[in-house]
Amino acid sequence: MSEVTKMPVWPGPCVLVPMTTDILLIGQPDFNSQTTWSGTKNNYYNLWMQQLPDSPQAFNQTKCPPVGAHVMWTLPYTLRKGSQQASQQDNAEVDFPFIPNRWLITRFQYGQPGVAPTVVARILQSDLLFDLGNNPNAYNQYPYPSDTAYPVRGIGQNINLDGWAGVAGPSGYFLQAAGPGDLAWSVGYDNIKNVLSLHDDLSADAAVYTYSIIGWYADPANDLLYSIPTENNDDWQQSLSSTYGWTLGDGQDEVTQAVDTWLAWQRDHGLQGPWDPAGINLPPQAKAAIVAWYNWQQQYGVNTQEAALPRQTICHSMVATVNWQGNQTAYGTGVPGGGLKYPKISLGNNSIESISTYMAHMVAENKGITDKTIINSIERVLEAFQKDLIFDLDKDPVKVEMLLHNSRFESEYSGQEWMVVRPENSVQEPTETAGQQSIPLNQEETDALTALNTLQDQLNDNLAQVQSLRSELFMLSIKSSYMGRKTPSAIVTAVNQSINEIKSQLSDRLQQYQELSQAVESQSAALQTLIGSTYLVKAVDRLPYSVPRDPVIMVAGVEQDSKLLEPSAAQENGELFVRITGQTVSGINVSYTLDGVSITETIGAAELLAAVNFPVWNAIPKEVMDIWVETLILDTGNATLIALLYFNKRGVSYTPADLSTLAHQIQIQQSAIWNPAEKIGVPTQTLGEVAGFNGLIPAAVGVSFRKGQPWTPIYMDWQVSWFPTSSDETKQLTDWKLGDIDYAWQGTAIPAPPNKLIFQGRAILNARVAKNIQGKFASFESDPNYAFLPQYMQQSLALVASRIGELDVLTQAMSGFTRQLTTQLMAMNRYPDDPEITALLTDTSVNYRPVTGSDSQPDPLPFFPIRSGHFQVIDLWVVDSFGQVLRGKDPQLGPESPIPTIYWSESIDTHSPEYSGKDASKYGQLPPRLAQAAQANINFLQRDNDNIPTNSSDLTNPICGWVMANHLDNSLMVFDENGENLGSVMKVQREVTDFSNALTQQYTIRWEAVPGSNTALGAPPELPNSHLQQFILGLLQTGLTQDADAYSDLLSAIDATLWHMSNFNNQNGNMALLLGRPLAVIRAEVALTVAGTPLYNQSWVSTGAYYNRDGTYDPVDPPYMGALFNVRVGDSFFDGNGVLGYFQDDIYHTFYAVYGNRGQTYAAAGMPAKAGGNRNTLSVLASAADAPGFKTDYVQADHVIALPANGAHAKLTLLVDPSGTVPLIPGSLPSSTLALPNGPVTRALNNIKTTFRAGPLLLDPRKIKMPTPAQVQGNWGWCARKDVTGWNPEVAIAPYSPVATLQDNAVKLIEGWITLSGPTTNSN
Amino acid sequence: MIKSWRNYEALHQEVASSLLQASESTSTTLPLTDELATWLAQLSLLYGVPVEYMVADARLLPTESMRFFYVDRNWTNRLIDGAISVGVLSSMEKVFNEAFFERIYAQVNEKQVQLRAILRSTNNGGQVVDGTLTGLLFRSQVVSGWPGLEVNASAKGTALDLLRMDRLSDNTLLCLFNGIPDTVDFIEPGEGLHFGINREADADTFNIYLRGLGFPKDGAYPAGEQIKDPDIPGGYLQASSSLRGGTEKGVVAITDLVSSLESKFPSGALENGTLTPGGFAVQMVQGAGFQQYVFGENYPICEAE
Repeated sequence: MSEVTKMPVWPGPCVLVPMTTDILLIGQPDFNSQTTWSGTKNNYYNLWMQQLPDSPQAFNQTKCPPVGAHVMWTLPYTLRKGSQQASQQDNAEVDFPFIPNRWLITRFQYGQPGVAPTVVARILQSDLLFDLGNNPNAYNQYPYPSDTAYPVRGIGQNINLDGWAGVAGPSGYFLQAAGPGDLAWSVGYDNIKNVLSLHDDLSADAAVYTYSIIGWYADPANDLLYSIPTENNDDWQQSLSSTYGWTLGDGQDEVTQAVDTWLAWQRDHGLQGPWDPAGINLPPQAKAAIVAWYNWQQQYGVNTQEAALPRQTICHSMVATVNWQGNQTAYGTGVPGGGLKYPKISLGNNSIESISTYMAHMVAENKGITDKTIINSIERVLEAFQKDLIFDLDKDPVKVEMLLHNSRFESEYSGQEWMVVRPENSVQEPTETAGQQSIPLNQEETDALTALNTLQDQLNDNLAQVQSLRSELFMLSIKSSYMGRKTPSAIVTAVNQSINEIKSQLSDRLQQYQELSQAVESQSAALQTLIGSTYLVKAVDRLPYSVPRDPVIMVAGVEQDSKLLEPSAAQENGELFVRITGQTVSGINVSYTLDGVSITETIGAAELLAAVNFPVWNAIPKEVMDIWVETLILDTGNATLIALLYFNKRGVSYTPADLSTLAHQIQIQQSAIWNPAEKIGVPTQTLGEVAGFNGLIPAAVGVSFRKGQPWTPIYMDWQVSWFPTSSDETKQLTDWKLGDIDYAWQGTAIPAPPNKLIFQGRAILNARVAKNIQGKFASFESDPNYAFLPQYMQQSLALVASRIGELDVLTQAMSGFTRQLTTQLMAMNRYPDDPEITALLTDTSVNYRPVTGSDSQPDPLPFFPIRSGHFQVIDLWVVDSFGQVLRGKDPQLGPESPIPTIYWSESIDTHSPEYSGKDASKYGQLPPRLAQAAQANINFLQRDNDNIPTNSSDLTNPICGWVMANHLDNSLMVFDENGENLGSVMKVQREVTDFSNALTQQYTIRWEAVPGSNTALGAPPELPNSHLQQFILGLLQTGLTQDADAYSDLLSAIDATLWHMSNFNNQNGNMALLLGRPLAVIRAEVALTVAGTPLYNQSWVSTGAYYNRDGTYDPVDPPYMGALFNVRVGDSFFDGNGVLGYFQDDIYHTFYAVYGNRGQTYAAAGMPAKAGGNRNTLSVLASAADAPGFKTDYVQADHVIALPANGAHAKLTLLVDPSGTVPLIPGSLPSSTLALPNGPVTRALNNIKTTFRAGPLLLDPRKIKMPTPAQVQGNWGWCARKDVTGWNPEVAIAPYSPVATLQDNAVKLIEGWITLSGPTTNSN
Repeated sequence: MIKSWRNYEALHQEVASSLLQASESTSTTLPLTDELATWLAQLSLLYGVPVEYMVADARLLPTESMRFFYVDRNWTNRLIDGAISVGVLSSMEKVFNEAFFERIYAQVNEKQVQLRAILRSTNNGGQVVDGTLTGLLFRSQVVSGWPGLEVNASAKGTALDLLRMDRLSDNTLLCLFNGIPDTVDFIEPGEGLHFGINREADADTFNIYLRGLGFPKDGAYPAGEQIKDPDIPGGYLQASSSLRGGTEKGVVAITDLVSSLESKFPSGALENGTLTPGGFAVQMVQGAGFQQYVFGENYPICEAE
């Protein structure tokens, strides 16, 4: 054969990367026992054949692995880490690096002490694909799509080293840590036999073994490090650290030292200068090996002149003291507690919740607390702590709760919107740094920006549609592949028609996408040109869509294994210590006192290679001999041989006792280096020097001394029974009510579905969250700020911090659960064959398998596009990488009974004010959520045009006007958007003719035009903004029928909310302090939308039901899209809330007071500002059991806005304090807040001019003088009527002087209006 | 899920009831800061109140007139109400004011009587007596002519604290007393020497009482003491003189006066029988002016509040 079939070898230095190896020993008794094993194998053959199982099913049981040693290594983290392509979209492909595809497994077998081990070596060709023949299930498989007739192969082959021909290849390199459709492929034993593991069928006899594993890339060009820069040390080192997470050590010049070591090694091995084997001064075996290697390299290898910095990787690992006691021994299981104990389980809506719940119970048990509310509050403290919200918890619990609620969702990209912003280097001070920028664009620029955003909206929608259509097309194509001869023709027709329709739609949409993208690009460029360089046109991400997270299960006491974690999670510096060629341990200094004389001898390659015979090799890395020698030196099982070699080298005779003593001493030397450096404060390399080792000690992960069976939990199998709120998909919100933040269940019993609904799945476990939590608690006590927390918080945190080191938990979401409720299955899938379809799908990764049911089934499968109800956890398995199983439930409880003891987090705990079922603790509760990506949005609208959403241009601002409750006048002043006073609604006494009426009925309200205006007395207001006009007219209208009660209700509603707002910063100067807070009248809309098309039931009979009209694409919303969700706008308990209430859908005869406001202060609001004589009122206020409520229907409390998820908008006219924000609390989706645009607010507040009636006052009519507040430097004016219709011109009020002029021209009693504008202050 | 982290529904009620409780408790914690109380105390002592509000018409206080008055507590309390109502943004502040107004008034009252001491940086503030404040407005040349004019008020012989004494203009004086005086004394500034004569209005003649000059040496007529008239029990020796005639009115005829004085001295009371210029000066020394107002028994006493 030609050279191309032979593997080249690498002449330059290599980076030696340590990794971990586990060895599972199985004896015949183990094989025969009843222990549960679960398979981890992907059956790609079945996938191709569309048979089940195609992937390892949850709760599958397999046979015990065969007798012998099962050696499995875990690739270094860097090789298992994928990186997502930079893309706008969340679902972009994740790239994984190639992994080594040649592995040398060397076994050292020790017999009698002091006798040199027998060495055998095998080679794995990990990516060798072979024909499966007629027995595909006997092998681990790999897809092989290029063979369309039989697109599956077996993978991996092991052969003896001496029989190996050094074959190269394959040419199409494919091996990665992630397998096809399976991220955990490289850690599931059943998939990687002879790929990343080896079954060593050990002999029947007992022996102690040591294994060495060395891996490399057959083709250096595929090496992970191949493209690392080698021009200079610094760049190389920087790249090694930042890209690969590896380090050569902490020293200053470790790279220089490493290079020197390599150059010396190269020289010693005759690889510098002309090749002269005679000049190589190495032990014979080593010399023979390098000569053989050189010859191979000359013939097949890479002959380039390589830099002294490595760009190749060698992975290595050793496991010593593998104590094989023969094949008739039972080696037991690695499952914690021998598989007889059951783990503690807690459940939450995310990992932090489930772990916090567990820890809260830990604290409660420790302190003897049984009260659930206290445990819940501890849980909340722990959650807030981990989310860095602990300092807000006491101050602003609603904010904390909102953020915790939001963390129960995952975000999905929802497109962009365009803003105009000030450049960062602008000399102008931006009014705000982010979000709703406020920019004074002119009309033309504003129109262009609005048009651009309209176009971008279409693009966003298009993108979401494309994604939905792709998902549907993918599932249709799978359905199509399922169809057979017996499939009913109606279904065949529906599937085919649907495919054609979706293909055509998708094709159109993709075309449209191109056009829209281009249009957006050109229009944004045009806008930038239009506005010049003063401002920047910029696209920012919109509020993302949200998808509810699947509940997360935490299992405690699973004896997690940190080897799968990235190094940073396990050790502080976060980098893995690696070495380069030549830095391996080459010798051990041994001293022994014999006859009073102590002599030190170095036992190294020369001595060891004289004693131990290694296989002859050539086509493997040149570093192998060094690693073998290192293995012998570090192996405690080899201590006796080393001792023997010492005595031989020293040339003395010794007794068996001497040998034994020295062997023991050497073992101590060998063990000393594995003391954890960070604990004893001495670096490992220093320990190595002290212990007498030459060379650098490898990182501890690469060297292990086997103590027992391995246990590496990787999967969690979960099984739940689902109890939907209703079997009718449109009635999932029955019995649920929007509570403070989330929906709260009001049901009386948990409804059972007609047929049991069991869902199950297998998910990859995550140890990282627990590690992160441990890291966070580690720093807890060092932060002095925690001393300011309430006592119970400090105590809970301190207790958890003190025990966090023992925390042994793993978490995993019940991944795919929500999908399963919507007839979609997260699974490996065959990619469609139809090239037209694959072209339309491109690389989309949103591929779920449709759950179709039987094609003869007349009714669709149960379908829950709104996830709402209860569930029981029926079973749970934790499966390790070898397939060992830790059961979560005693099997004797029966297959359908729930796991009895589960800690439910507060957010998932079953409770209802109406339900006291004793089984509540067996159910988890999931409040209503749309199962697909959705969004609850509140947007401001241009004040006079509902079709223009507010953008960064001030011209589109949503401020219809302003109102301000004037406490001095008992009036409601009204201003236009710029703060110009328009007049006020005043409470006035009506002429009383009938004294039998109640007192309150003697009042009414009337419109008082702004003093100084020419409006006829008694004329209705003519306000420039129609919403403001409607609001005021509606209010005045109430005066006709409800006297002043509606008006009082409104003022009371405003008043009660202001109690919470007292902590806001000054709005502007001291205006608020003097008179009250100006409140903006704001135009906005809220809507609930789903991303793209609604979810469709994937049952056969439902195919195309909501879009296929006999071959025509005509989408209609499925009925569940009409289900009404409640959303709330404003929450007076939220510290940042600025909302006081709103009118909905342009109906101005009902004002909805903000949540939490029920007119509690009605009595107080009616009190006059002056004190005295109202103590009774006060007592009433202080003792009222319930809020007295509002007197009229004009103001209503506790309102929620009902919205379907189909994007229908509710238009709102809001009353907002501009220093607060507008919170939106949808319950079923994350909460959000929206702030008013700064520019128009500031402008109006600076401009606002208040008037209030004053009089009668004793004033000098020629010069109005009165005392004005010293600290407020506003413009005070005086406005008075000349006669019934006319006005005197407004005059400034002169500051009062305290001098008694006592002039003869006496002051007069005058009535009029004091005006105040632009109040500012120099100091607060 | 409803998390009742706080009982929000009852928040208003809790605030109101805790304010109410606090206001009814016997706690000595003061509702106002010292600075605020001082400011309000000044206000209640009518600092910053336009004079027109007190004297609505100049005819109510013509020149050379004095008006005694009571300070109406209702009026000043409303003034305080007005001041503290400025910060009322919501009924929460109203509730606070309502709950604490009595204690606020009490604190301000206490501050009132200390205010003058505080302003003058002396320690001896007064005490609240019966809460009745009185005062006087005095519009006269005296106010401008005697800048150091002293006003002392007393009731039944006990001095009342002067809470405020301010010139509202060159010729208008405002005084406020802590309590109801029965006697108010106006005293010319006591500092310095005054020389002069006393005479009836428009009279051309006057009398001067003789003072001893320390002669003879046996101490019969100690220096500065008035000399008794041996003829009139309880009487004192005096010399008469007259003003000069002519166009300039009010000029003392000095030579005549000296002669008249010398002639009236008992023998030996003058050194060498001659009145020296120093001796003459001693004769001409005048005591400080003093004017007393005493409320008649039938003067109507008002009850404040």
